[in-house]
Amino acid sequence: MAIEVLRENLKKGLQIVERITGKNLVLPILNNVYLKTEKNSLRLATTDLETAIYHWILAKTDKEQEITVPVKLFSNLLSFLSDQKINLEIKDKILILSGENYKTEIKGLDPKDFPIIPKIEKNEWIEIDPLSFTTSISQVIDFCSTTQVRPELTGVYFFFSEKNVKIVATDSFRLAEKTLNYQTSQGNLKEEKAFILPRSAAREITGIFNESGQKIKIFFTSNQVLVENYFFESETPQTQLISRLIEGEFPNYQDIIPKESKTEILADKSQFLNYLKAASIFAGRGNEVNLKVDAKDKRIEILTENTDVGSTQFTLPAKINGEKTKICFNYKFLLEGISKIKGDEIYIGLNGEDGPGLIKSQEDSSFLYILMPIKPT
Amino acid sequence: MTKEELWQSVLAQIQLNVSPANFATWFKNTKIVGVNGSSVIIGTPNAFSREWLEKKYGKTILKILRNLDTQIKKIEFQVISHKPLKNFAQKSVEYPDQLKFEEFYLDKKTNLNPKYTFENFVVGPFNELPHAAAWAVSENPGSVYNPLFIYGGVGLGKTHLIQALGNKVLENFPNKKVRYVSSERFTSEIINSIKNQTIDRFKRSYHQIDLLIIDDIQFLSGKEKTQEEFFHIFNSLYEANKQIILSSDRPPKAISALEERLRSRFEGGMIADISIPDFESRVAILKQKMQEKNIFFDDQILEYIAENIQSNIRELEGALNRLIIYQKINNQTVDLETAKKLLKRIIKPQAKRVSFQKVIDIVAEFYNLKSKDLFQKTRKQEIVRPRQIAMYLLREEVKLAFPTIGKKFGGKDHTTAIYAYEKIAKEIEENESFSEEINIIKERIYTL
Repeated sequence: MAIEVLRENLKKGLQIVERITGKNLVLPILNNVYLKTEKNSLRLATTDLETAIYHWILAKTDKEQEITVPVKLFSNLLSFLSDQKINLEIKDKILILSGENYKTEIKGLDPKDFPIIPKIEKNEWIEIDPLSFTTSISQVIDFCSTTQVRPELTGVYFFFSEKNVKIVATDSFRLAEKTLNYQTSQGNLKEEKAFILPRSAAREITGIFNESGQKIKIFFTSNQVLVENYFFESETPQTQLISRLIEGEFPNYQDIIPKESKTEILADKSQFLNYLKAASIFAGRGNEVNLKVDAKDKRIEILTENTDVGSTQFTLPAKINGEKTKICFNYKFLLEGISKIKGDEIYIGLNGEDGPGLIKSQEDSSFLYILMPIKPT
Repeated sequence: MTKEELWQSVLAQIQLNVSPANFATWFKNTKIVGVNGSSVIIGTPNAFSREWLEKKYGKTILKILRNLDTQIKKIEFQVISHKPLKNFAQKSVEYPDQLKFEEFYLDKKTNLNPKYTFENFVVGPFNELPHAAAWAVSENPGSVYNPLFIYGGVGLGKTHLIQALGNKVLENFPNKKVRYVSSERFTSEIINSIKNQTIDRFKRSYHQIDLLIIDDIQFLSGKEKTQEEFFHIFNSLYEANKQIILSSDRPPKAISALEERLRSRFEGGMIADISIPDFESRVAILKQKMQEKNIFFDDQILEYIAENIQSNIRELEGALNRLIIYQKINNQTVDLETAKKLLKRIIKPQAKRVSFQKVIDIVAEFYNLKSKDLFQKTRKQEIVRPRQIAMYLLREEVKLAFPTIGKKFGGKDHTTAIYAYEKIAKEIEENESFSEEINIIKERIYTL
């Protein structure tokens, strides 16, 4: 008997679940989507053994059936079809698609060989606004460490407390912290929750849930986390993402955030960015850009020098308080941080030529960027 | 049969019945974590493999185990955490001069940086004695050389040695409480605890330590309250046979404004100095650093660096880093000529100009005086002596003529300058610890 679904729904579902496939070359079945009929719905599932995604679409079904088929091929095919409705049929290890003008058979693999996705106990959870949650993750995600030397730094750190969640990433040269206050705090957290989510899973969350309109819930367990959204105005899950967590302890990063800075600067963000980009053309091999700041001059000097190309100097008017100083940064690290800052005016706090710099928006201090300089020579 | 052997034989049999892909995916990093009576606990690296092994291979594994050992009735599966590799030596190769959040790399309890070990500490004639002493202490803390006082110039490896000692003690005696603290931090802890009225808690926390390491103890100079607290902590640890390690840039005698009772305590144990590394040691250090960074340069280049950078190990590393960046970015091997060009800026011309004012400032600072104090018309011993030393150095290092020196010090006769010069020169020859003092001052004049 046939399963009937809307093409648009199936296509969208496959686009969501296929995001995590195609990376594993050892086990071919990980390139497949696992289809299972349930009452009134068809469930899609994929996994890369770190993360798993479930997605449900409404379907007319008559009995329980299951199969796995290559997801890229399936989704590719769908993009060429134009029928509103699609009929699916599962016969042994073959998935048959049919409409008015076509019939396709896709060879599948035995669903018994598909990895068993671990179940999550839905005990402790919190409800959060999907848009602000995913944009907050995007603000810090680029600053995760990309080397495996310290696994705990390769992920995004979350710290859920009563009033807000802190989302943090660092590669030990710089650190970004976003504090997101809950608009409505729904949930049943008994105590504060902290975990380190692999960067790839965090990225999938921003991609999958940013358009989730209404609300998402996050469920916590000791070594996994589950994020889910819902069919419009219901409690029925539509998409679920399950991820493992990174073991280890995130460093006690609060210690490195300067409480007060020796030199404080307020400057126009877009102008600063613009000069910085221009100066970067002349940066040397180590990407060095020098900043010179003196309160009595009321301006920042931005200097770069490259023995082969030449040198440049920009001056930017700024409000400055505190000690006169000069400092050298990697311009890339500086640019990447400043470009994540919202608002028109930036605050830069400096602490001598070998101390950390603190950068944030003058209007909004929910996002902090802390950057270490390059060793003075 | 041990758990390891048991699991080994399970794997050996299973591998015959599953595809290599499945075997690699599901059995990698699994092991038997424990045997509890008749049940065996199998550890898996993640929840996916736990589910899979439990549901798909549970029966097979149990059967194999029972064939090996009939006692086994049951198996359980558990996700186990496997310790990440500790490799702190690795630095960003792309940006070697980029500073990082050092706090992230410290052991939270001991404050030690695990990257400092005896294994990556290069031993040569210049540091043989302190190394041997540190090693002996690490094997037997509290009973030999207590306190151990290590001194030497900037960038010669004092911090490395005393931290390596701390790490080694932890390795040898995991239950010992070790704490490393810089004297600045120690001072600010004291100030804070006085302010917050938690000085008792502060003292108690120090009294529980088995091995206390204080770096750069010369910074206690002039801080009386800190010295007093430290004196009490020192005594109580010492009497309880707890080990104390101190480092400084100069011997205890030369630390000015240090209470006499502390000075004599410091001198009561073993004092060892790290001097400037000889040529062979400098080459050995460069080789060690290359190995850590997994990059290799020609011996000629190493010898060039070692010949030209003599007094500071940190600078040796800096020179090496510069070559590494060049090699990385240009993707070509550095030859001697390129190395010379690249290092031109680091390698200072031998005859570096030193100004009159610099000598005055550094001598005054060293003896805890203000620069203008040296020009006071006084015969107070604590001024006269530094003044004579300044005159000596002005002659020796700045090559000023004796009459000029005399004139600069408030119109004194050139014979006064000659007398000062000869007196100091003679003392340097006769008194070794005084000669060290002068060397430290000289070093500062040239490095600061």
